[in-house]
Amino acid sequence: MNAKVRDVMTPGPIGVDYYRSIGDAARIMRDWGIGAVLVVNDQVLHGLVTDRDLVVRAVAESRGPDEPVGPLSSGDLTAVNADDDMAVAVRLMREHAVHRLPVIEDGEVAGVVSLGDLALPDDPASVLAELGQTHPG
Amino acid sequence: MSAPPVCMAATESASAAAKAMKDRGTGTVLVVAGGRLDGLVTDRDITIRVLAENRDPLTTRLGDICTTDLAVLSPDDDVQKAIRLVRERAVRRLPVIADGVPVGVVSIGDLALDESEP
Repeated sequence: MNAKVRDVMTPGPIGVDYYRSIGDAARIMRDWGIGAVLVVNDQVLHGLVTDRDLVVRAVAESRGPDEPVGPLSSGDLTAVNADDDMAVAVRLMREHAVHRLPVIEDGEVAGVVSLGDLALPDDPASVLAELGQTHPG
Repeated sequence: MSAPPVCMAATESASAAAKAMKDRGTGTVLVVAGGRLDGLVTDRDITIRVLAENRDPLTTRLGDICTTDLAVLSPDDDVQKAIRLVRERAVRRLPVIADGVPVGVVSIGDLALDESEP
């Protein structure tokens, strides 16, 4: 598995303000077809919030869609470098039991890599391709 | 696969499903009628079909937001079939059905994180 994180990550992550509403965050995830957004407070990266976070930390807790999304985010982020092998990302996801990692390049957030990125249908280097030992054609 | 699956009736609310997902540590609820699989609701479905649409989670029924045209596995299917279905159907969770009854769920996480050793 020699694929680099940069080869499979979703570049240009979407950031939302800490005080944007939960409903807005859900609509951003829907409209951009993504499962996580970065939460920014005063231009500083505060954390990451996923579609699942909105469900288990808002809907399950009876928080309304007009409440701010910031408090739902996970801080203390584990990140991966764009030049790291995907194996590193997989190991970090396992160790930290997360499905998504911010990707850092030159000290800035360059993207997000998710478990789903490992399984892209056309990526012959994907973890699932390796696992299934399948070959296109 | 993860077993046993969390099963709820189509008349239950999105809010109840969210609570079940939290309490049971899962992202998938199977919608069943009379013990048979009718549909599947994921945590993402609740985000996209309830929160993003400004619907009230307390009154939105699972029957109105679940996916019904499901790809399923049987317990004897091999992992390759699961991988092929994940790709072809662009889904992340596959219910496992034995004799018409849901007995588990295989998720992309089960496939990628638990069993592959890079």
